[in-house]
Amino acid sequence: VAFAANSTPRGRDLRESLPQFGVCLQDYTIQSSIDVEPIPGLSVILEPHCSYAFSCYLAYLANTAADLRIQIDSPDLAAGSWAVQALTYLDTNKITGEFVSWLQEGPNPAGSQFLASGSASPLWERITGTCSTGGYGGTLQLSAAQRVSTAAATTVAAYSWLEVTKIEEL
Amino acid sequence: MAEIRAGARIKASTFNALAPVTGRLASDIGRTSTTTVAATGLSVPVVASALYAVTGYVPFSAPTAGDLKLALVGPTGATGHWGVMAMATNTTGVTGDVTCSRVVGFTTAQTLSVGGVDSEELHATLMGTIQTSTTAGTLALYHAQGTSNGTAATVKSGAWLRLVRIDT
Repeated sequence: VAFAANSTPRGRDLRESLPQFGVCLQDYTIQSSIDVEPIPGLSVILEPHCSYAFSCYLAYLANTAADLRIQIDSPDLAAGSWAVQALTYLDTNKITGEFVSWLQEGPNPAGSQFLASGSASPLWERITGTCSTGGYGGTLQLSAAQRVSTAAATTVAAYSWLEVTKIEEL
Repeated sequence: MAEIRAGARIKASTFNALAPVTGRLASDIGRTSTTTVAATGLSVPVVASALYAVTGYVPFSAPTAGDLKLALVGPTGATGHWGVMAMATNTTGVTGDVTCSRVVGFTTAQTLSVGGVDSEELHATLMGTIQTSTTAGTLALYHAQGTSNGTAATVKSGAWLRLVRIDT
């Protein structure tokens, strides 16, 4: 969106020039499950035939045996990619350690999953991506589970957020 | 939070509430103490009873033995959490282990240390969320040495904080 000098911006244009946020307002706990579950609040509605940039601050606390599994789902016919920067679950240190910078790309990235380390201390990971919708609007949704099914909880922390900014209409 | 409705006149106060607010450090600030002190200039005003997404970029230099300690300090009663992504304090070079640690709270009691490397320029990335209480004020970056050392831990000019209101 570009505003012409001396023009009166429309509310719609102004709104679309600003990012949308989805926020997880309560801790979400997962136990004994590797089946991803949508995290309430960590979703944003996308329009059809639009291109978006998104980023996510995902705060979590996961048992070192359980770790964290995440998945991002997009509307049918959407394309794009997403990347995560986090501690790898393969590192045994579990507080500081080897970093993983992971990229999933392809015609439809929905359904691919990323695995991050758990720790005795609170951690976070950064997610960055792009999504171009096709003929369908819908929801960009972050889901999570444990990497390894464990009775000890994996918790996505309240106040994690997903930011989506429209780049262009296609 | 402010909302833009179709057909409604957009007030400056509405736009101000929606637009990101940023703070930028104008000049380098070095510390030779382990007591965190505000990096003057690197603060952002926050209103009462609001929820903000926080992002930040902190270029710095610090000796391998001294490292850098950071804190984000908000108004009284603020809750939430923040994390830092940078080299870990046990690293001795510009490649190696990293930290993705996170702390809960916005006072000088909640700090995160990141690794410095002699004669190298590094950076830390910050992200988080702050919920202010009934007290408005500022969210400010504080810094110090992680371990006492004769060489300063320096946050470089150009460091920035960006806040966006995300009340739902």
